Amino acid sequence: MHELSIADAIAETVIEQATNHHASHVKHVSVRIGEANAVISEALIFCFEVIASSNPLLTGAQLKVDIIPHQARCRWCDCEFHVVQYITQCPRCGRWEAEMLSGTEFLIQDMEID
Amino acid sequence: MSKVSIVQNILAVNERISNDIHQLLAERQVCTINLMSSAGAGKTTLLEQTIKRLKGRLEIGVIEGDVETSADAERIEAAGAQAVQIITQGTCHLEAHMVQIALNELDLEPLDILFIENVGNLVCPAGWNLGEDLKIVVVSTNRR
Ligand SMILES: Nc1nc2c(ncn2[C@@H]2O[C@H](COP(=O)(O)OP(=O)(O)O)[C@@H](O)[C@H]2O)c(=O)[nH]1
Ligand SMILES: [Mg+2]
Ligand SMILES: [Zn+2]
Repeated sequence: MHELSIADAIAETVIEQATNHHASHVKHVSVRIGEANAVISEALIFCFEVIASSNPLLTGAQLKVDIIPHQARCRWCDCEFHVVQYITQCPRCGRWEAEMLSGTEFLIQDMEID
Repeated sequence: MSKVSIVQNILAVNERISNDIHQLLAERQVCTINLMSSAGAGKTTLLEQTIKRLKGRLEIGVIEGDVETSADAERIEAAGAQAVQIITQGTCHLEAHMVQIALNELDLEPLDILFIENVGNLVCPAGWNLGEDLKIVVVSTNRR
């Protein structure tokens, strides 16, 4: 259950940024998380709601989670494929030398404030 | 209502604390190792043996992470090294702020090596840097 710590980390940064922008309330927060981080969106949203409900700046704030697919490209045959469970073997030529294209992102993208 | 772009690593706060820890330990010339494995792979046993075998040659300190108990810190002390236990109360990995608090309870002056035994889990410990110089993963295999 690392979702609780991640939700906590998101809330901490959002509060810091909202304070810097003299916001009275945060309405939406969007994050981009690569599939390789093994984060469950529903659990993260639930944890964020629990944390948000105990902070006046965040009460009712909605978290939008974009999960970015884990994609790789084979260095030998250029085949692009979806990486499942960290297995980076090329499905076309069988080699294990793939370059990661996406799926390791871990970003707070933006927020909407009043 | 206005939209504010942030575009910042979710773990930025942890990174900041991790950098502070790294700087402090570098100044004290302590080499720090974050030891990770799945539960029961043998981290504490490896530390006990390492402490016994390096006794008199290198001064070792250990920060022990555990979800519930302080049994591991007791094993480390019995092996002859300073130990501080962090009980994470359910959190499945150590975070930099926990290590920062634990460091206050260690006498860093004599130390050559600081081991941080992470919580037994191979998913999230990898994501949270703790100010270490090295990460080491212990893997146990079946005997045949
Ligand atoms: N056979 C064998 N057992 C081991 C070895 N290392 C640890 N163990 C046993 O595995 C269990 C878990 O070890 P422990 O060091 O507490 O694992 P930790 O949870 O990773 O700290 C204990 O019963 C140890 O005695 C090893 O190298 N060989
Ligand atoms: Mg242990
Ligand atoms: Zn290929």
